Amino acid sequence: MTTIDARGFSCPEPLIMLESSLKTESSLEFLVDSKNAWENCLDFAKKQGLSVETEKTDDTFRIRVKRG
Amino acid sequence: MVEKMRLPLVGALTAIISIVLVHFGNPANMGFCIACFLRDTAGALGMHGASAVQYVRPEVIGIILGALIVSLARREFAPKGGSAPVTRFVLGACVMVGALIFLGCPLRMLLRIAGGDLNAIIGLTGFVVGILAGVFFLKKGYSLKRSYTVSKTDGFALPVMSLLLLAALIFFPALLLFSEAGPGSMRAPMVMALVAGLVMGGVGFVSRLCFAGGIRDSIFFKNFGMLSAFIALLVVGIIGNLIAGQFNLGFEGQAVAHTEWLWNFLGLALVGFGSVLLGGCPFRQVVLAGSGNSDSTVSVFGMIFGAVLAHNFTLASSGAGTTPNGRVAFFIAAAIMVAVAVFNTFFKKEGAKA
Repeated sequence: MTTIDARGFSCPEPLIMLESSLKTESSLEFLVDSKNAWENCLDFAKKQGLSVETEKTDDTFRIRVKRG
Repeated sequence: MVEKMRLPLVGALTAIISIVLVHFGNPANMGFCIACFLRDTAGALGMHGASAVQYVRPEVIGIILGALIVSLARREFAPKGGSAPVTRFVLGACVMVGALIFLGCPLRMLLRIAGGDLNAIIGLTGFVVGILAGVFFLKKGYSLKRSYTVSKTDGFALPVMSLLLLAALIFFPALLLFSEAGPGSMRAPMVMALVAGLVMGGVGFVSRLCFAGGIRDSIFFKNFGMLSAFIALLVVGIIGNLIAGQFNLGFEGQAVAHTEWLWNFLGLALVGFGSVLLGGCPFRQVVLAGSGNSDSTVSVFGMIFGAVLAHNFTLASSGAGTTPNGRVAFFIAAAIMVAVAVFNTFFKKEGAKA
């Protein structure tokens, strides 16, 4: 599974990165480090109808998204 | 339902607090103005010599401390930085130049519209055009690269400075300069202004209120949530100003405003463009700075520097209109912003794949 590390990028870059990555990947792991970015990305993935799993470890929010 | 009403309530609250501050002494349509208040604060510290705009505005101190308190309480205080700080400083200065050509930050732009100042509607169109320019570069890959976890002292620096400034204002006012005439002499009571700032800092942090981000996201992601806050601010602001007798419809005779439509447009276009490049409007930068973001702290310092330049070199407009120096400064600031945008869009290297 491809991992995209969007930690440290300021809004709205993580969301742009997630959106563009999903054009080529059907499943991926996405890392962010702010609650703001995490909520935005979760919201976006859910609106796209993707299956989403998420967990928080230390300062990192991991979001695993998958089509279908 | 509650969730959907949250942002409109934030907009309405912002309008009400602003109207109350004006009613109790702030300049017209200036319940809040981040650009003006940072400029006033710089003046109070003797950083510029414009005697009409010198006062340590408790509202700004309140916003910083409100964001600090709420971010600490929610365990979201995060000292982070290192994402092109010098570039952010320069962008902050350029944003301030644009704001002082228009005479207000995006928040004051909305408050001016709510007070009937039609010049601010021209400003709004410029602001949107500036944001569109920023969105163009974002779509092409603009980035100031990553920030990293930094020392806690970086995160606490601005809040501690704000506390010191507050202490000076309360206990050692003789150290500071106070305008005796002009906008800087028009002040809501100190405690009221401080509490208003604290509330806005806390609410701003939780709601992520950003006057550039709301328009940017509605264009970029078709996410119109934040726009509901702006509409509520305008509606409640207009009604509130009518009730308070503070509504004055027209272009002429507006307080701390001028009627040069082209420069109202261009000034806020600069602010819109710069705000997208910075990742947030001046209000958002102050809130983020309070919550530990040292990149935003540097942006705020840049804005203060811009205000100092604007008043020491007569770039700032007044009620009489723009200045020749200000018009030249616009082109310099615009060229700097375009250069920053181009270099950080087309000449950068960094992959995100881990």
